Amino acid sequence: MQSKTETKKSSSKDNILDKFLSAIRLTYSDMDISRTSWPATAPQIEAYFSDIIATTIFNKFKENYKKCEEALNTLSVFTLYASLYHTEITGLKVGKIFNGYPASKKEIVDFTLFIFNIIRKRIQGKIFCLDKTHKILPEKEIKNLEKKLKWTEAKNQAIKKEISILIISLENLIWSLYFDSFTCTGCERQGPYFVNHNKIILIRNYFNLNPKEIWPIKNKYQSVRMYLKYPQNTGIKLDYGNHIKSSKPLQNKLISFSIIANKKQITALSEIRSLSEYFSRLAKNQAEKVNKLSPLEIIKKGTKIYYYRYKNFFDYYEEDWQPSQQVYDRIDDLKLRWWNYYRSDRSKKKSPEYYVKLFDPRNDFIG
Amino acid sequence: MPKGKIILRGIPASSGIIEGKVKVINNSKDFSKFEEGEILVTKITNPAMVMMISKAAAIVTNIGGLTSHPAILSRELGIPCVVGTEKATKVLKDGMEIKVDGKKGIIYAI
Repeated sequence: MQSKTETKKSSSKDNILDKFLSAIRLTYSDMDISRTSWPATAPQIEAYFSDIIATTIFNKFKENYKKCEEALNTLSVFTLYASLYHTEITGLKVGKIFNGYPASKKEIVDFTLFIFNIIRKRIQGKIFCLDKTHKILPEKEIKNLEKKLKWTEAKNQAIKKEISILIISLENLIWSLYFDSFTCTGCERQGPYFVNHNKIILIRNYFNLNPKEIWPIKNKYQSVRMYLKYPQNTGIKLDYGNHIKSSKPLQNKLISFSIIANKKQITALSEIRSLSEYFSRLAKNQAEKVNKLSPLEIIKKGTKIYYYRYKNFFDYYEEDWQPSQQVYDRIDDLKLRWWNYYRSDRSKKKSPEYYVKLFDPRNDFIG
Repeated sequence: MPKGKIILRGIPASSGIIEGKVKVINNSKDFSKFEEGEILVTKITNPAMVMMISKAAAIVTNIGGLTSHPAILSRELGIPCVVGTEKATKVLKDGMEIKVDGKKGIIYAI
């Protein structure tokens, strides 16, 4: 029989997991991800190795959780968010069910809570974004940033439009570099942060536009960081999946901006236009390159992208971040088995409850 | 088609009302035919369409949700967008004049 303390602990764990699953429900209710993901859905790629990477990380956690925490802290918080449910939960379930990996439900739950705790220490807002924000920076830092940054007024339609085009060219570039499912490898969206005079700041940070380890591209820009100020009533909300949801179109609402490409401040309309054109061209070429890949090449490239987002983690352990030979052998062995299995799945829109069940570490459901 | 008749319904993804000509994009060979100010109609957008998207007056897609690519980009650009119509590329034809109501998620004949 469970003691009162044990019952309390377990109900508190359930409470946290239920909140996490509420965030999953909210995020997936606005998605049609099983049909729209380009160039493939996440499971068409992840199914080949999710158990391998999940058990690798889980073993490190079991060996020395403090070291594992330090290594996980080298990753962006958005990578932790995304990897948590895609890798750790489903990967461990798959490892256990298909390959007899010895992880109990309790261990998977404890590992999930361990990652929640790491995330909690690194953010300012609510951990599961149920307040519809992704606040990473402390209020003091935002105030300093607001003072320190050089803000340019978005004084006319031409400049507002050009900034929108710059945003969509960067979003497309990120998408074409990291595929739809793994975009947090190169960008993050933070906020909205409330500042004075009923305004908010949204941060769009495109921090890796040049992943030479993945693609033979030549991009003269490594990063672009955009600080965008809007009226508080613009209705900007962010979900757990780091998607921006706004009740109103954003372009006309922009009040002022601060854009830093590499380390250079960009203010003039001509500079913004030149950047947009540059990134649009890169995105188009890169997407066309991806569209020419065979399914097997997409699986292998997607696998490499997936592992790449853990690069700092493996660097911390002084290990090679790249997928092991075991992963590539499995892909070569299984060929298009999972690709086709999940492709046929693409005809149906999945309900949010499917994902709630899939990402619940307390069950054995794997889709 | 009678004026004002509802042709399609979908998920309202970016508000705004606009009238314009349809251009159905089924594959990359169609990309060069797209002209500024046309209404982009496609199964779903992908990053190879970046230049087209920035020239579109509105976007209508067969599939997608509120956080899908066309929805996010349309809200950024401030253009109407209706996603998840299931059959836009079949029902709408090149050159058709339509009205897109991105707030209600309705496509009308005009």
